[in-house]
Amino acid sequence: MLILTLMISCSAKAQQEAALPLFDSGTALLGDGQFLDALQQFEEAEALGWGSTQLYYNMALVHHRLDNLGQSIRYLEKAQVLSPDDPKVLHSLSVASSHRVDTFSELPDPFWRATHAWVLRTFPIFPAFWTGFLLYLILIGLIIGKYMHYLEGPWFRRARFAAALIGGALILHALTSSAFPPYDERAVVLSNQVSLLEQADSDSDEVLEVHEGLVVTKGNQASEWTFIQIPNGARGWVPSNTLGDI
Amino acid sequence: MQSYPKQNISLITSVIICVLMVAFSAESARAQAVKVQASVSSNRIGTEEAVTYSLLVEGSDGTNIAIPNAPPADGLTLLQSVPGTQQNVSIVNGQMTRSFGFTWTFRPTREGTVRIGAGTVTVGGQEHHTQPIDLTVVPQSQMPARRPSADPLNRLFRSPFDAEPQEAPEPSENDIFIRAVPTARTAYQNEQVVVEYRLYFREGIQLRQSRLTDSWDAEGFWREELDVETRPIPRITVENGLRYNTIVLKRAAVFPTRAGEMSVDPLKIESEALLPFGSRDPFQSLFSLRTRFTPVQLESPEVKITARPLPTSAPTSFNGAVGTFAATVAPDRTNLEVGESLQLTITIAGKGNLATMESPAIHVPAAFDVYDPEVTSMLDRSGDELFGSKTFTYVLIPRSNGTYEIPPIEFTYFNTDTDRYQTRESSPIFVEVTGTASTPDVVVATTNGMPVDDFAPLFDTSGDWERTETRSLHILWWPYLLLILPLIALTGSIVYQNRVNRYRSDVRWARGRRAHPLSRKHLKQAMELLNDGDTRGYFEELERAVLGFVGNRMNVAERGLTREQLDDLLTARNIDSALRQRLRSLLDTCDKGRFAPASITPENKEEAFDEASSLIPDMDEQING
Repeated sequence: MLILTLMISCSAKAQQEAALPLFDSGTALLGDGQFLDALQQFEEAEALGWGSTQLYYNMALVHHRLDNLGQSIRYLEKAQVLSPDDPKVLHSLSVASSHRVDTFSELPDPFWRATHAWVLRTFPIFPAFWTGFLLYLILIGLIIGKYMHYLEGPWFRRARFAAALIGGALILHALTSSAFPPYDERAVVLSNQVSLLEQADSDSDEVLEVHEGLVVTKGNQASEWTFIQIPNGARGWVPSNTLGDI
Repeated sequence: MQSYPKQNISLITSVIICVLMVAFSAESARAQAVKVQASVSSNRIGTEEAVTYSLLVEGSDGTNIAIPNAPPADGLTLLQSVPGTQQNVSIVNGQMTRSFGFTWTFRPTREGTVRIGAGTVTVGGQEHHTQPIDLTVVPQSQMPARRPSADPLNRLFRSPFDAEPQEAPEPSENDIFIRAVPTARTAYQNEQVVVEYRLYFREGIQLRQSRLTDSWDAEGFWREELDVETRPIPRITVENGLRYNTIVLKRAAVFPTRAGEMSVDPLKIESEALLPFGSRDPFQSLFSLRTRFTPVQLESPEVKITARPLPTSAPTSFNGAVGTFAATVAPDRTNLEVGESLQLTITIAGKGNLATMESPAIHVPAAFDVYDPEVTSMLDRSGDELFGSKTFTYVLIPRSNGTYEIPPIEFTYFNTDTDRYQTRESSPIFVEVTGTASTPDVVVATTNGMPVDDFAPLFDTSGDWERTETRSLHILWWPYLLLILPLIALTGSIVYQNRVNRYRSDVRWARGRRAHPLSRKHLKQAMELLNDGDTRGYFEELERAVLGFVGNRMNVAERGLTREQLDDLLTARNIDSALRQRLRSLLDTCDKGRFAPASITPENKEEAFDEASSLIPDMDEQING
């Protein structure tokens, strides 16, 4: 297990080290105003499978300079996922959102959903899992020690109880939040104007029109169509290629 | 040196200019296309009246016109075979026009519809034909009564101020009217239709004090007035065989603002007309000072235009322009510094409704401040249609340096010539912005230091990296493996501990578990001793293997047991006599080998080993059974 962990860590480290020079060169090009070249560097860094708040923010800035409102909002949303309270991200997202055509009111989240989201923000899935797993190992060790007659006594009993309770809760939280997250998959409308259709058919009736930069919730997918819900609760189908995943 | 007086020079110059003008005019006349028109003095006559038929030749200087023959007539008789001739010279806008006329007089021979056939005139050896003219001959009683013929002497000496019991003749609808001529009765929405109002009046009618009596409107249309001559010179036109003077009263371009059938209001004018055929007496015309102009009210017919909706397949860049247009996009410069302004001028020129045209959408990089465009229009109203251009001038100010691309600007219009949407697209414009933003005087930062209406500055360094394509935890395999492995370890530990505990607490079970391994160990050692040639040691190890196995399996101390005690123990465990006999025989062989090894052959050693190897499992089977 240790070897496996070490191999994964080494691979990740190598990929990060490859992404960092691309980020630096892209940032330098962005500073020089060479937006297209900067974007190419950033996209290569992202293609390595790693991202950061700073990478996403700079990509959003490039798209903003290139007047790609949808992509700009998309990467700001990605940056906000990683750093929900970053002032630069929040400010820029506010500026970009002000350029959106659509201004729909947003449906409030149910209480349980908001609470679950808060818990998930406080205890993210993977840290929660690893912490729970560590407590789980401690619990196993304590049980083995008990059988070996080495670790006996009231404090060890209390430790076993606490490790089982907290570790189990964290692992359960990680797995259930992964399977049933408190938020849906989101996307951003990238086309200037898209018709929200009642059915996944271009001849279907139009529900309404949405415009570039609108953040929507993704639902089912059928062929080249995606079922989405816009912030005010209206739902419909749009071509999948008009959306960019967050 | 002789010199001409100034006056003589001026005279000579004037003569030369006149000669040149005449020559030029003659050349102009030759150059004009020959046009031949036929007309009659009236297309409705009484049975006792005569009608004058005229052939008018324009575009010729008269030298090459052959005297034409009278046209054939059906229902009419020719009163004179030799035509009367006339010549008119007019100079309009400095251009001299000459026309030559030939007239014949016909009298009807019957009532009803009669016809004067096509006239033929040969000009310069080329024949020109006119269209036949139909006339209506009615009984003389149906025609207006003629004024009584006055005595010429009486008229001559009558005071011109004497009242004469005579009413001014009223012009008929055929004498003077307004015709509205649209360029199309059916048009697309927002397509240009020009409606021209022409006043027709018979030759000789004089008009004065003409004015519009009502406001002209065209509801449902966007309308633009086109220029008409303020002092128009009548043009001669033949309509239904009658010669008319025509002038254009009004010309307007209308653009339907919606689909459907709509009407353009009639044009109404008031005027005063003097009819020549009401008083043809030259003496009266000469001496009568009384006005004989008759007030007339004229109204054009209503014009109905059907507007069709535009096709629904309009591109997204279409903003309502209909007609034929050309578009240009031009920046005033492409290299500038931060804070300087760039003017981007979009010019759309062509035929259509430019007044309501909106600017094409422009997508300027966000680094630019864009101000509302300055819009200027230039309309040419002098032609038969409305032409012009509209210019949208945007001011762009870059806020940061860099190379920016202004994407192609699309202008889509509905082309009425091809009945299709047509998109004109400019080339992308690359703008090089240098320098850095100077510190502005106005507040450009928010309270938390962020720029107003712009993104925050870039991040110079990257922070923590995270996998972009993280898969959901619950669908990965390794979390479950990580959770199961400790459980397996725990189970193994418990099993191991339990086994250790039983080894410690259950001697019988422990010896039973060890019986086979120990016997195999002794057999192995025996084989090694045999190979080393140690016969005594070999048989000792064989005996230990067999007896040790029996002792461990039966949990008895095998050392010191006599053969009888061993046999009793085995009998008690229901070991059959044959097996007991084999055991006794083997033990005897072992004793013999230990104490009299010389009597043992190599075959005896191998047989003993084989016997021990087979005896142990056989005994184990019966002890367990």
